[in-house]
Amino acid sequence: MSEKTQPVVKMVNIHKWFGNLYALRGIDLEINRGEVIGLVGDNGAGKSTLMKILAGYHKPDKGEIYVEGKKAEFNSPHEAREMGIEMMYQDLSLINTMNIMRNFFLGREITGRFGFLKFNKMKEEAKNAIEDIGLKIPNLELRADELSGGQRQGLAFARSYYFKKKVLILDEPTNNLSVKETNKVLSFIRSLKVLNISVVFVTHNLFHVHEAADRIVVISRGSKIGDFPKSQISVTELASLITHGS
Amino acid sequence: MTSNKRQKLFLKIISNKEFASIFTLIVLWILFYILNPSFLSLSNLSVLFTVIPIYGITVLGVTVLMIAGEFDLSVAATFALVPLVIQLLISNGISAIVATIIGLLLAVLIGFLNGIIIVKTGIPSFIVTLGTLFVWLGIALQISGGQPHPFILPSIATRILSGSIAFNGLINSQLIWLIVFGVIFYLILERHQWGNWIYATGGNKDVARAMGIKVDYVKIWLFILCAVLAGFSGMMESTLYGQAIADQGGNLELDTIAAAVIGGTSLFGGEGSVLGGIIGTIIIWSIENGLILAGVSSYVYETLIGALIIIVVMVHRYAKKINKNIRLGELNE
Repeated sequence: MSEKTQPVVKMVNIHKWFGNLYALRGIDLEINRGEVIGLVGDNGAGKSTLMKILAGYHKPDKGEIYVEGKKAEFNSPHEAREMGIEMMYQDLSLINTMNIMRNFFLGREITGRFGFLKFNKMKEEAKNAIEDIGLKIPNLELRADELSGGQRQGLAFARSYYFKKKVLILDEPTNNLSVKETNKVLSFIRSLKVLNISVVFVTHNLFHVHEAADRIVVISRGSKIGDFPKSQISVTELASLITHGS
Repeated sequence: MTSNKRQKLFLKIISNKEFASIFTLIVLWILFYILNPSFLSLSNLSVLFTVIPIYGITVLGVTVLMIAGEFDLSVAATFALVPLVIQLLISNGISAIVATIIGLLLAVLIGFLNGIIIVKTGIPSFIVTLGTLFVWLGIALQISGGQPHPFILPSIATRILSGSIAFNGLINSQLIWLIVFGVIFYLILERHQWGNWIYATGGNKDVARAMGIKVDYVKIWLFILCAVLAGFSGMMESTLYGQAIADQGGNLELDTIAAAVIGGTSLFGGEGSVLGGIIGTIIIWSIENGLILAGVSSYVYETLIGALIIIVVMVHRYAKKINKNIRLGELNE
């Protein structure tokens, strides 16, 4: 298979039990390069569990994960991140008391001799990445808590882009955002796609997911009950599928 | 300079994160000078700067630890126990160098235990170090019998730790140590990747962990650092007075936190500065001295410190607000 057609991530027959709870009952999921996948389902359907497995927070009880065709096993989120897979939570991506530049390189600082920070280089690189993603921030000295919700997510996306992530998992990225901010986040997701990063968009909001995704995967009670290109399903049909399971 | 420019410069000065503490220090010193001009005499300043750097070194460790979101109340015990143990070893015929190394290793152990208990159990550091404060203080009382013991190091070691250098003792070894440690910690916090990890750990440890920072290591190392600095400065004080005694840590457990907070360090972690911690130390230990010179009962000391903490934190908050407005560009035109 050529690099283009090979899925960047392939999850095969994933099972997960939590004690007596059979949370995932053999799910397959393929994620192609630069594809935006909407992952929808009711509360407790298993979408978060599936994504936490992909991001290395849980280990599957059965099933395999392939990254670019190679079998992978993640013992921690760190190992998944090393392979270019990252889960992003709205409130778990930035440190409020630190400025943008320090946040941008947090844990992956650009350093010179003896671990001292190279501020000029960091500033320049962060600025470029932020511009590439279409985010406008006038001053990198701003603290993270001085940014709007949309800007915060844009910044986290710019960071994923800069660190060459392959797959970005977004957990409810449009929750608690204004209409304007939501549009901004959806446009960042499109920029990520152009930059060839795959996005899994986990949400309850069918309108947002229908607008942003190329493909929509529906999960119900631990099983995949639908996998459609966006053009083949409407929001109403999605809603009915989630509520009635058919 | 146009008035607009002047205003901007003024706001820029106010918004500096050390402004509130420096401003407080200047006001206090002027006040004490008015009450008794000999406050700013060379002889009084050298009295002040003989002891301030010693406490300042302990405060540095506490400040950096607080920036990472943790407290260490046990510094008051470490401050006394380390010189007592060194004294005990020396009086048993062990060489001063070996005794000092063992004493500092004990500090490493004290810090490591604080850190590992807090990280592994998740019990707040305020509680854990309150416990270890009493544990180590009790041990210090047991090995000393509550009595002062002569603490005599070879004269060269005494000079290195607490000797006068110039200006009637205003410039002394302990001040040089404080400056050296201050510069090192400033560089680490503001210019080194470790500083990024420390600020992140205190700012939001869950995010820091999600970004791959080893939060627990950061904390354990800082607890060790804090204890070693407390032990080292306790040793300095013992060489200065020629004795070691179990209560020489005095009220350091709270005074160090007060100094850090007056210097602008947040009780919630994530914010603070090395220079602020040093200025906070100077403020706290100036007050008692200034009050005595002013002929005011030193009992006023506690009241004044308490009131001061609240006032200075209010000024810090005001400065922070202005700083934020400047960054957001609301004061540009």
